[in-house]
Amino acid sequence: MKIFLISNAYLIRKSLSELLIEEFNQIEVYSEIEDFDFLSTLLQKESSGIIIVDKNFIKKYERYIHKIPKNFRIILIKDEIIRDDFNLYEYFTIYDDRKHIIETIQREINKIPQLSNEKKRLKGLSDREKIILQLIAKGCSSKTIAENLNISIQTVATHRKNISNKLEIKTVSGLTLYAIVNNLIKPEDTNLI
Amino acid sequence: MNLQNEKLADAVKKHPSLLNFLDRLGVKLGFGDASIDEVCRNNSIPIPFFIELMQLIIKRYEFNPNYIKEFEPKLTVSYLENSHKSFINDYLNDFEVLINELSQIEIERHQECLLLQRYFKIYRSEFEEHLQYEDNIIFPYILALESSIVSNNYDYTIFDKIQNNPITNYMKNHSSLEDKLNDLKSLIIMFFKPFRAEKLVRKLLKLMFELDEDLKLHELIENKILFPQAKQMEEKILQQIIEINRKL
Repeated sequence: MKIFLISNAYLIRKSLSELLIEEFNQIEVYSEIEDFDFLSTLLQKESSGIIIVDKNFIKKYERYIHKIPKNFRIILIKDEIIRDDFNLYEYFTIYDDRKHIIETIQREINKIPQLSNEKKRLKGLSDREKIILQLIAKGCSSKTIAENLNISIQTVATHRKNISNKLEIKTVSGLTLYAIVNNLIKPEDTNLI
Repeated sequence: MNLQNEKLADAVKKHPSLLNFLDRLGVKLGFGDASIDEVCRNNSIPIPFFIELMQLIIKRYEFNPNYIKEFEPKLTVSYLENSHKSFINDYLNDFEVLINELSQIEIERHQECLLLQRYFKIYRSEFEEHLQYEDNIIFPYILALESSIVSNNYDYTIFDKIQNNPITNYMKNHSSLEDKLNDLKSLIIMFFKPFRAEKLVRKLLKLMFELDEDLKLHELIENKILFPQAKQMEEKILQQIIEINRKL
């Protein structure tokens, strides 16, 4: 989970980033995002997050905002409370106190579906996930796994994501090493040896 | 730039991550109570460059560039090249030594140690490949942009490169060196049975965390300083070429 702060207002960036860094783990600050593609690449690196922006951002990217994945929530920084076109978004204003700002952000974090799943996460892998992990460790691609188990590639992708989230291991080599250490597969059946 | 009058020693004591920074700039310790300004002069380092990088290292994700137009991109390139060297010397070589040491102590866990060695070998070769790509392709491209501007020479080759393979392409596909490292941290912390050589494993882990921090800073310097500098140069060159064509 990462918090992105995007505002070309220096004072907002400066003061808000100070507050964010004290309260939350990972933050990234941008004065400006050059195009929506760039934002998409930034988001792809994270599984979920909060994007705090000002109205200039919304105006610039209004047409694209629906493309932002559901695991990212937008919070708008308003400079005054007026009825405007931006009522779709959660917001705080530059006059709000620290507590209110943090609560607003925390409320949005709690709304991220994946994070609430993570909290409920099962201790170990399910049997199905273990089978998929074995195939990953053998060096099978998602396509091969899908064909072997007669499921869609999307289902394989979901399983892979869940496995990585549960184990906190992202790479194939890392997953392979996990599978060996936990006796799910013999080392000689993997690419690691 | 009020910072330049501050004592460098104070800054380093407050932010130890500046130690690597100074090393990569060739600034030796033992600078007494010299100010940043004095140290820069003594070591022939342009002040805006020093302050900009120092600010990034101190502020990290809160950093926003202020002076990137005020120093030559080749300084950033040379700094990052030095960082590449120290990634190998300061970290990767030490990892190898520690993992080998571990396998000598934990004889009955020979197989697991072998796996760790193998895993690390794969990581190292990917790591070196990534650095080599930057050293051989990306940095020379950025230096070519710079020399094209300095010499006022805008030939077709550089135009072609900017058109077909601008720096934004690389920025978008810039792969992370951290994933495999983080996985190894997770595996040792969460899933390997405890090793007898606890102190050695702790040392290994601490080194991994240190490298992770260093890589984050490295990536930030690329994304917030070097690549924006490259982008500005690309735009300038394209602008110049349009001007030249208009006159023809």
